[in-house]
Formats: sequence, structure tokens, C-alpha cells
Amino acid sequence: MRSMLRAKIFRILLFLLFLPTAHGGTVALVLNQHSGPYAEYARALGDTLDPARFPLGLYPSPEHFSLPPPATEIIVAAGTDALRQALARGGNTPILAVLLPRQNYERILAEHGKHKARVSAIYLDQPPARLAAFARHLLPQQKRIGLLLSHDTRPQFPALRQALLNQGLTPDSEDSDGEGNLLPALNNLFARNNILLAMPDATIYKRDNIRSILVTSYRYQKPVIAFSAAFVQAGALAALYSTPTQIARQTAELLATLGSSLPPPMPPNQFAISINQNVAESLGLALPDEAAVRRALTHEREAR
Amino acid sequence: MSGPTLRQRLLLLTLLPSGLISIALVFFFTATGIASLEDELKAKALSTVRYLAPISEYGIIAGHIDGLHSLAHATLQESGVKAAIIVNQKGKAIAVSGRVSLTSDQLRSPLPAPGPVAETETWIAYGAPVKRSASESDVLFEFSSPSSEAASAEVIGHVFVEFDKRELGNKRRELLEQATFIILLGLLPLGILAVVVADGMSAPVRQLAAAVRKMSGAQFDTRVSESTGGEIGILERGFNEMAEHIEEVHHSMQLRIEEATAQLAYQARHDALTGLVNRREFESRLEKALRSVQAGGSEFCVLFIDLDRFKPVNDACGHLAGDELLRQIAQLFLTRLRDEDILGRLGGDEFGIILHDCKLPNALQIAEDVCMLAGDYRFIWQDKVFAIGASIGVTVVDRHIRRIKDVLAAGDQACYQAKDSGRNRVCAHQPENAGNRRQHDGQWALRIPEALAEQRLQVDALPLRALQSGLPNRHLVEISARMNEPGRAPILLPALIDAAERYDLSEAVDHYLLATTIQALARARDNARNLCCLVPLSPSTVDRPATLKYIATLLGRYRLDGSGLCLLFSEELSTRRASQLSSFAHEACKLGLSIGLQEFGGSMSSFGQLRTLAPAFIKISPSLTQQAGSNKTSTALLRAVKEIAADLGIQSIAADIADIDSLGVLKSLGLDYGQGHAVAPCEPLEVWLEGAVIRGG
Repeated sequence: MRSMLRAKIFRILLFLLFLPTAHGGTVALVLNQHSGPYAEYARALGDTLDPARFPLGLYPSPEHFSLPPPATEIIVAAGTDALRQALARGGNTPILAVLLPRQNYERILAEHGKHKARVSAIYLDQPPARLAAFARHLLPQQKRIGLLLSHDTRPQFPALRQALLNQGLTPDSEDSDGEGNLLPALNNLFARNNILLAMPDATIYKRDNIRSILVTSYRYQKPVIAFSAAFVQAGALAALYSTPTQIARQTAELLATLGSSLPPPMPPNQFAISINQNVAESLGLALPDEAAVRRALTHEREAR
Repeated sequence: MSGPTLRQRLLLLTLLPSGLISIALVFFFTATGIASLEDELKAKALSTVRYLAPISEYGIIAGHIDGLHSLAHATLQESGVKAAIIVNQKGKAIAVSGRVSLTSDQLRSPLPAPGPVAETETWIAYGAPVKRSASESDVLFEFSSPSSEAASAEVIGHVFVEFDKRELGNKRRELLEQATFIILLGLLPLGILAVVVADGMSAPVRQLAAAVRKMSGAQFDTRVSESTGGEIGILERGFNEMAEHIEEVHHSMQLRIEEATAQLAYQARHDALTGLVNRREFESRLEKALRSVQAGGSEFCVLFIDLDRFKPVNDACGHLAGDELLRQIAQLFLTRLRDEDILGRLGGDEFGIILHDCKLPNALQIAEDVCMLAGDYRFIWQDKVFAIGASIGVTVVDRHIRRIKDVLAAGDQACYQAKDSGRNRVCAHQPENAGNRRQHDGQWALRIPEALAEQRLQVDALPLRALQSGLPNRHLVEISARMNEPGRAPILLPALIDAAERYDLSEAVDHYLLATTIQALARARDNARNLCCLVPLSPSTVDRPATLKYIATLLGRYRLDGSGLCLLFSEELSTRRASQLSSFAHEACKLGLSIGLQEFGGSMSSFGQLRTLAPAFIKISPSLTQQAGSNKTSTALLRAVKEIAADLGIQSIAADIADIDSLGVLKSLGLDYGQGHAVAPCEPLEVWLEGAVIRGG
């Protein structure tokens, strides 16, 4: 499957290589790794982009990318490491970072310090209003929403807090910066609130902690609203997220409308919903189905 | 028999390998079972901690102590679990159930993986780390993807479970007991089977062995039961056939031996020629009859028959005729006897008859009849007719008679009396005679020692004169003796020696003579006279080495050498007991003594002895010397004797020379010495020694 995919991509690359360029602008796609969501993204982007306008140069891993060809119009860096490489080696070619949380993007830029190129991103993080609406539509009876914050996510909290308040919900937060105070923070949070709303935060929601967090939530018989499908599979009640394909579509649209300047970093505009009905049953919750929630969210956006 | 028996070998052969194999097998499986029990326990312990660790994760993470307690308690319900402990990351026990044996240090020590923690004789503890389980997260949300994958799971606590090994021990013991039971259960029938088989196989062999042992112990009627088949059965039948054969042979052999023994016994008791009892049997029957008389039975008579004129028959017609005559005459005598009377052939032409319960007159009558029968009988052989007769001596046996020797002697005497009285007649030896003789005999035993003690044994000298010139100048004398008793005629030496021999008194007489002679020799030596004495000794001296010792002692006492002493024995002794006399002479020579033979030439059979005995003197039999000169044969014999003696360096003595003429003849014949009335009278030794030797010079 994967080899077929790879062959297809190479055929496309060859085709692109010998095509006379219309605008002379090539898109260099640097992947974190050529598998999983990154491969899905690359395929979706390749399918969506007009090859005549945007010949795509694929670099399957950051190591493959050293110097952008002279005609490169933009570098698309999929993943944290790809962004790092693009910043290091991309010169002044504009960079679009995709498939990474806002937290990571900001940290890398901060690490990198002053850079010549113009950089923008399509985050994985859902916009606060959408997240707040999702929480309200999913569990209309539950008003008290708890959040764990680290110093990475704390700057984003005010916007989210506002969005939640706008939805008529009561946000509550607990700081968990170190390893030791995760469980006490959780205990405190669950004692006061009915829902844990997880924000993408590499310091809190890492693979070692997810089980503990979920276990603690079961102990309190309170659900967790997460930010990825994997989290839902691990035992969270539901998640609002964007798939690599959706991000690729958004990337293609962005490239098509791209002018001389890059837009500022943006959240994904398309989204997906995943609900773990087993968890819902365990917790004794009657949830609307995914389609209903999605319709409600879409409706709300259009209404605005 | 040494070593194990067949039965033991069979038992060993059957029981040992099977026993060993079964023991080995059972112990192998028991050991395997025990090992698997242990493995099972360990596996169970490991799986228990493996299960317990992840399910404790939630409790530890959530600090759900009650839940952990119930977990530990539930674990304790598992069989064999002694204690269950759950500790947190810092090694503090947060849930404990059961009796804990692990130390707090052991509880605090970190474990990399599930496994054994401690083990003692009675318990074993397993522990496992409780790891924070990782879950799938979205790679998109990770800050740095490759490093996060390598991170190992965090250990958030430990679980420990202690298992009681006593139960394992119990199980092990149970297993061992079962194994032992199985061995016994298996070996018991095996043993019984082996014993039965071994008995079955060895019993016939043992039976055979016992039978063989009996057989070799001469129980020839031994048989074995033929119950077994196969080779053993063949052996049994073979044994029985063999035994039967051996018994038959033994039986017939026994019969033959008995027959032969009976025949031998008969032959030992009977005379082969006439079929009559022989002398031995006759004497034994006589002995029996004598004992019955002594026990109070009535007296009986014995007839001793000597056939007259039997020798001419033998001489004229040979032994066959003599034998036939004896057979016929035996049959003839038998016709005249009662059944209970015993006729025996005592040897040659002598017969004896025991007439049981018979007085002398009757016996005399029977003897007369027998005598007449013999006298009337004519023996015809070829063309010759012989008349014979019988001289019969009759003797009565009553309870005064002690020994059959007396009966035989009396019978003989009577028989000779009859023969001397003119043959073919009967002569009775009166019982009184036998009694007198016995009385007379009995006195000898007293008379001789008495005479010796009272010195009534007169030692005489019979001086010898040299008949030829050139002989050594010395006094040569023959010692003689006579026993003087008050109111009786003196008893001369030959009769005295004869009596002394019979009553074992000859040694005393000999010693008396020797002592007297040696004293005389000493006295002669003291007076510087050369004396040589010839001392006649009794025949039994040759059997008494003590006599030589006695002589040696006496010679030593008087400090004499033996050259003056010559011991005289009869020529008859030199032929009858040649070897004894020869060895005696040899011993005597060692003492320096010399030997002399008297009555030489009487039988003319002793010339051979001259060389071996090497006597110093021979005293020639008077039967030769008395006829010297008048009888040519005697003269020739004398001359021959003299010449042979001279050749051997032996000096000859002519004895009992009665007159001067004879002396002359003998002197002319060359004899060395003469002795008798014509030479010198017989006088007491003392007198002769004083007169002729000491004073005469």
C-alpha cells in the first residue's frame, strides 16, 4: 500500500519536474516523516493542488531537505521537525507550517529567534469559539468546564475562557506545570467541574499521562473532551479535530489565493468530530450523534 | 553348601531388576512431579504478580486505597497466597493483606521486571513493578516525535505476593507417600509372584537335591515325586529309575555279601574236609559248656581221640587216601553219637567229642564203643586194606575246672597215656589228677620267690677243662643251680627255668644267677684270677632289655668289663626266635658280653644262625657226644660241627662226659672243652671258687 503510494508520488514528482513552469513558483513539501498523517497530508495536497500552477517538490523527511531549489515559491513544512529544518535551511523562502499545534509553532519560532523568511501556519488547534460550542452542544446540561494549564498554554487561555463564557459555560482552570502536581491538579479540577476540556499541550497530555488522566476521570465519573481521534480511542468521551486531508485542502486554498504576502497563522477551518459511545455509556451519558453535533456547529458558524 | 541357594538366586534375579526399575521410575516421576509442582507454584506466583501489577495501577494512580485493599484481600484468597502487599513509588506499603515476611528494605528495592524477590524454606515472594501504562497519542501533538517513543514506562509502585511453600511441602510429602505406596503396591504382588515362581522352579530341584543327599547317605529307597514337566521332569524320572536300579543292585549285593559272610563264618568254624567243627569252634563250644557247668549245669565229659596207624595210610597211598579215611571215620563216629554231642576235628588225625550231660561211666562206655568202631573199621584204598585204631583220652569237666586249657591239657595227657599204654584203648584222666596238678602248679608261684628270698637256690659250678692245648689260660665254668626245699628232692635248673617261665618268675631267677656270677667274677678279679662264666638264661630273656640294663648296672657297680660273662641260650631258641635273639646278642656285644648256644646239634637246623649270632661258645648236645666214637654218623657230625665252629672262631664244648674214654675220644675229635663227671664234679660255686680258683691258682 505504502510502496504503491510512494511510486505514485514519485511519478507525480517526475511529471512536475519536466513540466514547464507557468509562474515559475514551486511548492517544496517537507514532511516530518513519510508515513501516517504526514503521508495522508502529502497525498491529499498532491491531489488538491493544481499541478500546472504549483509543481510540488516532496521531501519525505527533514533530512532530505537541505536547500530549496531556486524557483521555490514556498516551503510547506508538515510537522514540528520539518518546520525546524525549513527554518534552518530555507533561506528567505516563505514557509507555511502545517500539522502542528500552535504551542509547538510558537516554541520553535521562539527557539529560532530572528529569521529572514516570512512564516505562517495552519494550526491544529481548533478556534476557541468552535471548541466552546462543541462542548455546549455535546453536553448541554454540563456548565462547569475545567482546564489544565501549563505555561505553554496559559497565554491561550483568556481567549478560550471568553469563548466558553460566551457559550454560557463556566470555565475553571488548574495549573499543572510539573510532573508531580498533575494528579493533585486533576483531583482538584474534577472535584469542582463536570468536564475536563483538554487543550493540545505536549507537557500535560503526553502518552504517559493520558492513561492516568483518563483513569482519574473515570474515578470521578466525569468525561474528558479531547483534541484528537487517538485520545478518543484511548478513552476520552469525544474530540473536535481536523484531519490531515482537511488541513491539506485548506493549504491548497491558501496557496491558490496567496499573494505577495503570507497571511497570519490561522486555525483550521474544517473539522471532524469523534465520539466514544462506550465511554458515554459507561458514564451514563446520553449524547447526540456526531452528525447532529456537526450540523449544530456548522449552523452556528454560518449564523455568525 | 556355600553361596545362595537356587531359590535365592531366582528371587534375586526376578526381584532385583524389577524392584530397581520400579523404584527408579517412581522416583523419577516423583522428582519430576515435585519439580513441576515447584515450577507450577513459581509460574502461578509470577502470573499472579503480573496480573496484580496492572490492575493495581489505577488504584495507585488514583490513590484508591480501599480498592487496593480489596485487591490485596482478593489476592490472598488465592490458594497458597500468604500475603499480598502493594507499595507506592516511594516504597511505602499502601495496601497489605496477610502475614508479611518481606522486610521493608526488600519492599523498597526497585524491580525492573516481574520476578522472584526472596525465597526461604517456608515461603517464596514474587514482585512486579506497577508501570504507568502508556496509551496511543496523536503524533501530531507531540513536540518531538522520535525521542518520545524511546521513553520507558514510569514505575509508579510495586506489588508483592508471598506464597506459602508449606502447602507445596505437604503436596511433596503426599506425592512421596503416594510414590512409596505405589512402589509397595507394585512390589508386593511382584514379590509374591517371584516367591511363587522361585518356589515352583526351585522346589523340584531342592527335592532332587535332598533325594541325592539321602541317596548318598545310603537310603536307597529314596524316590522323588514325578510331578514336574520339562527337563526337571526328565531329571526326576531319571533319578527314580537310577535309584531303583541302584537299590536292586545294592539289594542283590547285600544278599551276596550275607551269603559270603555266612559261608566264611561257617568255614571259619568248620573243617573243610570232614564238615565237622574245627578246633577253634570246638574250643569255643567247650568254653561255653564249661561256663554252663560253672553256672550250675551238670558235668560233662570230653573225649580226645587220636587215630592209630594213620600215618602208614598217608605214606602208602598219599594224602587223598588219608583225607578219604578221615571223612569216613568222621561219619563212623557220628553214627555212635547223640544229636547234642559235638564231634570236632582238632587237627591232623585228632578228634574231640563233647558229651553233654554225661557222667564218667557213660562217657567211658561211649569211648569204648568208639574205640571198638575204630578198631573194627577197615579202610580199603585201591587194592590195599588198612586197619586203624583209636587212642582215646577221657576227661570229666566239673565245676572245679576253671580254664579249658586245663581240660585240653588233661585230655591230651589222657590220650597220650592211652597211646603209651599200647594204643587202641581208652584212658581216663582222673579229675583228682587235674586238681592236684593245679594245686601243685599253684605252689610254684610261691615256692620260687620263697627259695630266692631264703637263698635256698643253690648256685653250682660245672667246671670246664680245656681238651686242647693253646687255649687261653683261664678258669672256665658253667653256672648251674638247683632249688633246695625241705622234704623234697632238689629241683634242677632246666625244670626250674621251665616253671619260672610259666609263672613269669624267670626274670627273678635270671637276675639271681647273674648277680651271683658277677660277684664271683669280681672276687676272682680281686684275686687276680682270670675267670669266665657261662650263665644259662631263660628263653624269655631275649624279650627283656631290662636284663641287659641290670647286667650293665652290676658290671658298673663292680667295675668289671663284660668279657668274663657268657650268656647261654638253647639252640632251639636260636631257630624259633632267631631275630629276637640276634638283636639281643647284638645289644649284649655292646656291653662286651659274649653269647653261647647249648644243646647245639640237636636239630641240625641252626648252622645258619652261627654266622649271624657269632657266639663265643657252642655247647654240643649230649645226644651227639654220648655216641661219639661208637656211632659213625655221630662222629662225622661232631667233626663237622667242630670244623664249622673252628672256621668261625667258635669254641666247642662237650657236655656231660661221664667217663674217661669218652673224654679221650672227644679230645681226639678236637673239641675245645669238656665238662661232666669225667672232668670235674659239680660243686657249689662258692666252694669251687675258693678251692679251685683262688687257692688252686
